[in-house]
Amino acid sequence: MPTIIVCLKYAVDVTQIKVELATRKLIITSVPRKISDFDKNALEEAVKIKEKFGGEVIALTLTTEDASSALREALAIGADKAFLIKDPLLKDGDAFITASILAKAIKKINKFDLIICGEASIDSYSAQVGPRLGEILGLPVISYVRKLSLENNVVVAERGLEDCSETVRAQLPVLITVTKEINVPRVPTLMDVIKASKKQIVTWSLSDLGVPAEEVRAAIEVLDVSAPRVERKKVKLEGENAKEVAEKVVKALIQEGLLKL
Amino acid sequence: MSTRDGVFVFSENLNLTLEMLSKGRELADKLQKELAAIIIGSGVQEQAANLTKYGADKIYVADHPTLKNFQVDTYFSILNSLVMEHNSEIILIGSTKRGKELAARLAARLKTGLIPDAFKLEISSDGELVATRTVYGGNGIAVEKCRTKPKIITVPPRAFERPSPAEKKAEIASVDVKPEAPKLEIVEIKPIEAAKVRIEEATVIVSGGRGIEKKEDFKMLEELAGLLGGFVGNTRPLAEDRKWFIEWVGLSGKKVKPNLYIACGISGMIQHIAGIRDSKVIVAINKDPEAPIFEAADYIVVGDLYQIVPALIEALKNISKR
Amino acid sequence: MGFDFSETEEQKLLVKNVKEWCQRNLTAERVREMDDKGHPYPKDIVEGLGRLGAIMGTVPQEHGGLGLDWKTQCLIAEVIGYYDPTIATAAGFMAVETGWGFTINRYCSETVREKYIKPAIRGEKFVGIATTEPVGGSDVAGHKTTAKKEGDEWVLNGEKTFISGTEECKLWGGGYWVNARTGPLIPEAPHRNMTAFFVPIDADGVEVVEPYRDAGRMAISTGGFVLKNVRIPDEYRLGEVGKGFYYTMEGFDNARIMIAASCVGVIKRILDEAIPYIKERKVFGWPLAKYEAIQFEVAEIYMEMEALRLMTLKAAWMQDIRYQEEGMPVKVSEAKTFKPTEIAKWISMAKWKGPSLALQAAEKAMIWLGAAGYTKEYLFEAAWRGVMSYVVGAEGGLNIQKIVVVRELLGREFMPYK
Repeated sequence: MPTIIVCLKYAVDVTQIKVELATRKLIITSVPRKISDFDKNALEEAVKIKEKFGGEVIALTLTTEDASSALREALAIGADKAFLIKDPLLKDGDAFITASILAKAIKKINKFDLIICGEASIDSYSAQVGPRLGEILGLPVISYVRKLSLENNVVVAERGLEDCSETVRAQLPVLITVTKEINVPRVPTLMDVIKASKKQIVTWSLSDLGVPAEEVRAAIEVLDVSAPRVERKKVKLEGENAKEVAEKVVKALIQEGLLKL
Repeated sequence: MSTRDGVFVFSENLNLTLEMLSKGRELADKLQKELAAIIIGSGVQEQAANLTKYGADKIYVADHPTLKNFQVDTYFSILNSLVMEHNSEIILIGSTKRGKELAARLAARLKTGLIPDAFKLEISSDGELVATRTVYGGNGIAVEKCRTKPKIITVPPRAFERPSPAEKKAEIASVDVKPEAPKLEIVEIKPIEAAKVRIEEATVIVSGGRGIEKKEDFKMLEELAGLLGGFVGNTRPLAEDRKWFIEWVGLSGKKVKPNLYIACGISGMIQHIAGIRDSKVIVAINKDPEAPIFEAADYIVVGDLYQIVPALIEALKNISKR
Repeated sequence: MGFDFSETEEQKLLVKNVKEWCQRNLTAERVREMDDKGHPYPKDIVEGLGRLGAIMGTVPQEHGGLGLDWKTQCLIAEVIGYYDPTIATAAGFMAVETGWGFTINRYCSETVREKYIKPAIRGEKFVGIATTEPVGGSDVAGHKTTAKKEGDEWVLNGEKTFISGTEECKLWGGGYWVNARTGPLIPEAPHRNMTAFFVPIDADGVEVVEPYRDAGRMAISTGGFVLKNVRIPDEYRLGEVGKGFYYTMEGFDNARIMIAASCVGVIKRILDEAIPYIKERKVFGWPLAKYEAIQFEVAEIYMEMEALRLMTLKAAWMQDIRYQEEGMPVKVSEAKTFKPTEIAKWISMAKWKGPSLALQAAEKAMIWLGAAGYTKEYLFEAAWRGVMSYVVGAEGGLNIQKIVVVRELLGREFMPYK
């Protein structure tokens, strides 16, 4: 009957970002947020384990915004309880801060057998928080897991690496990061959604965790975020027929030094 | 020679180590500090000796039978003690999956910041390290600084060029190995069939997207690629939706850096563009004059790829005949 | 008149999940395939809808439903209409099952509930409404099916035509709400002495006839059945003897709200498909969307759709208050109840506007897109053929809705049939 904590990021929906044309700055503040995609895989895996072995799934997130709709969604998917760490001091936070605050929250929750995170977030894709959290909590970390099984307090995980598939084994407690290959996140039933309204969301501020404001200083300073500049030649190659166009392409390739004659 | 406060380089992938050495040298020179790299493994004396030719001031070697396979806990503990001893200013770690995890754990242990996947690294006029990386799924380029020390940066493959051999050879130093016991037990390792050259290293790529009607039509792209000495690639929908392929070129797939990228029937979704952005020359062939890929192309061909590609193949064959 | 037009967090999450389910299971390709292939309706989709909880959500939780209010069920019907703009899914599972099934559940015995309602909620069986007869549809009080009491059974005789879902009902099991005359016909009050029954499709004497070849909503069948001395236990009677007509009007109200809400979704879909096209497609060097003839029409359809939506939600709100007054566990507001005829006026307005606006939207979209819109690459033509069913007569013809509104505005004495 394991207790599983799932760390969710209330991430920017990158498909809805707009660019301010004049300055090329990205307009992030009004972009809708959602549970980061890989974190949904993490949550699904936790719920599947609960369905098999019983136990409890706890959803945990860190944000400056009101993430209660995302946490309600997590509760509908199958989390039993959710914790929201909400504090304006978390603005401009980075993975260093995130991992250290999550660790404090997990210590305050004070019970878990397994922690599951997504391999990385969809908006930052830095893949740091999971391993950092494992290191702070002194847990074995198994990353890039695409298949997971649990038996008698031992986790067996198959990791998808660039050059091989590595199967590892470790005793609980363990921290896992999962890839999207591990499962297909479910669509909760409407009854699950209704039941989720009755589940508990606990909100903590940083002072509830005993974190003084001075400690919340991100290690990373972002100097600028702009839309990528693409300075391409954009030369149109036209012709009467395909043969003519093809010849123009070949000529261009020769001029670029890409074809050895 | 002391490599204190200097630049430290590590990757379990030696090609990446080399690439990072060239950038590392540049950074170390600007900071007027030393550059060191570490190679960890079993029976790696020869590789270590080879590394000394490429610009580092010192190459550390941790050579031990227990280090044969990469185990994050053991490699991490070696790297950690070395880095602590030398109080490095900048640590460059190769951004492979293993490297990323290693770097994050090191950053947590050292209570410092980490900038991932920096494809550009410079020392600014006030002596600070400035890193550039892709964010928001390819929609943004972020320029970042790390306030804490050491500054840990992960570097993706082929972000930097390999160094040419240096005049001065580096010192070699052996590291006493007292590795931390691994927390994970490796049960099985199944190697993936790897092609000799991976698409990320290809210099010419001919790629197909949704404009390709049947999987068999890729033969035409293969022929074109063959004539140019290149690889064939595909976009994500052909792998995920049509299930013609397992992998794809794109931000979440393989990021490529060829000299020539020919996009056939590819519309140019931002995630794909992010994966091919570093190509030297992009030629795009698409029926749709409004296709977004044309914004990211050097040469624009509006036309039916089923006519243009065969014509190109003919034209190239004719050149070799001359 | 303090009120709030915003959706609750729970409603938003419910809608989000129905959307996600539809995105996976009611893709454009699937819907096109369903319309091309025709009935019977795919069982896997209805079972999925059942597991999701999208069918008969307004049935109270202790009877197997979700205990939702009609406003929330409207939001769900909008999504169903959006993802299946041929309206076949909404026809079978929002209008017939959610609208009528809920009403059957109000008046049925525990036996009928266990055997038919609960399985229908899970997507396992089909429960429907059979009012139309060869003699006519609109004149419900003029229907000729009879039921004679023999001991503790009723013997039904009659014929029903143009009934939705008969093939599905036959295949999956289930039954129909059938009204029958159980007392003498009073010429000045023909609606009295009619009783409602639940007739299982496999009851002895029920002969299901071959379905018609409809013009649209092809995925759901339209057929009929003959009742030849069909014996129905008294336990299968719905509500009180002689009250059938009134229950039927209630059933129509619930089904009509669902149709209006589904049409909001259909129209939204039509706009979502057409607008990107007219923004991109150029004629004489300019996007179609630049031309006022087109953009004004788009704006008008949109404006009318929003009016339809508000009217539908208000009608649903009125129905919720009526049910709240009757002791249903849905707490809506402090307002007093409305007269059923007042509610019926609002519902009929929504049901009048919904299908006719959807028809107009489909037609206009085809004109904006030209030849491309005329092809089966888009679902406009399938939407047009589908919603036409709700203009010509399904759940009450267009002109019947108008009569209902006139009756409330001008008075009963102006009814054409009086």
